[in-house]
Amino acid sequence: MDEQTLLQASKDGDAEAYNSLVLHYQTPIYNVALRMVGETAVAEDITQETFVSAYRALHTFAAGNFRAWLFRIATNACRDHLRSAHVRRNTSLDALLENQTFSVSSDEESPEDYVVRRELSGFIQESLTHLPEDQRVVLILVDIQAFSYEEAAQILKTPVGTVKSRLSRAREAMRAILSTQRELLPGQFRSG
Amino acid sequence: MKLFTRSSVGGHISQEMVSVFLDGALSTKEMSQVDLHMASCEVCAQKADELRSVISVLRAMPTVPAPRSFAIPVPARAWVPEPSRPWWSPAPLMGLRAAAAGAAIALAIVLAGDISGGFGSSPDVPIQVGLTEPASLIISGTPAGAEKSLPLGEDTVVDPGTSAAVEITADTLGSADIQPSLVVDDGFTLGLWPLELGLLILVVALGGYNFVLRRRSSSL
Repeated sequence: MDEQTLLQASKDGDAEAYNSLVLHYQTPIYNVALRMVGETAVAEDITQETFVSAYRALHTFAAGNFRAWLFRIATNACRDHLRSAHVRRNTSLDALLENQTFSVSSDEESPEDYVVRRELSGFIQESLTHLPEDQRVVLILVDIQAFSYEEAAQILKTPVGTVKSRLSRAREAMRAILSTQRELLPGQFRSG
Repeated sequence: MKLFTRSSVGGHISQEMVSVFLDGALSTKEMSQVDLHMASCEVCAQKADELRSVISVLRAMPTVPAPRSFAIPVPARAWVPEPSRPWWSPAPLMGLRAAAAGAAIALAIVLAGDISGGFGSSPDVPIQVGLTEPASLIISGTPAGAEKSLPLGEDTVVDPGTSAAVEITADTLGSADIQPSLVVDDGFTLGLWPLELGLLILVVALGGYNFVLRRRSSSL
């Protein structure tokens, strides 16, 4: 069944149909939450909350981009969490590494490359938590989750121009942070 | 969005423009302008290279598998309360309206009963009759116009639900010194005021809440 059919069945109370949508979106939603809050347990809670909230509010979704609507619920839940926590996450690199938030090494990857990639991922994750919330969410949506400017704007309910400017500032901030860890980075940073 | 920034001597491409350029989201004309500038400006070319690296590093971030299924329990209807209807939808509003109407009716009944004396819950009111001679009293009320003679100095009672009045008949006028201490009942029984006040507050509260919800519902 396609998404529209599943969506209509879900609205009619078919929980199985809704769960098909959940299974399709749970990994990207979880990843957005994880990148936003930096903690696996919290990201799990936010993911679950997103799908429960979305199910309860299905009747309010008339038509349009369901994916954008779902991610809007998720990003709002992340923001609510960050505001309620009211503190910048102090997730250390070691804690991030222990959280096992990284994919396993592929067969072609050497152990050394795997370690570097793992450290780099941990460092980027930690760097994300230092970005202002509005820049962080744009960076995660566009650069990590590969949403278009238009779809990110739809999710965040902001103009496309705002998405562009926030993304530009976020990238610049990340460039400044990453330039302090050149040994972990690709060639362009090492030579700079 | 400005293509060039004036902050540097000679003018460089603005940071935002470089960012959008790297996403390939500029117009054809702007893309060629930026390309042309990059070819002759090391500063902008270097900036673009670094930002390109940032983007590639971010895009290479691994996707973390969901640690578990987030499917909702089936059947969901058992634990999701009325998913197809918001809390301000017409059905709850109707219940609220019915409650407000019920409270208003109850208030009207209590007030009517109180005014007409139907409840008769207040204590009897004594009448002190005059001090010199027996007097013939007419107590208007129930039964209407009933005449009653009372001995001097005795108390009698009047149904407080009636508008009790004491009259001195013509044959006793001048020879009787009747000083009834009765305060004529104006129709309200003060003993019921907490109930009436409570009902009034309930009616106002339910009516106001209903009004707010209707406004909110219609604004969606």
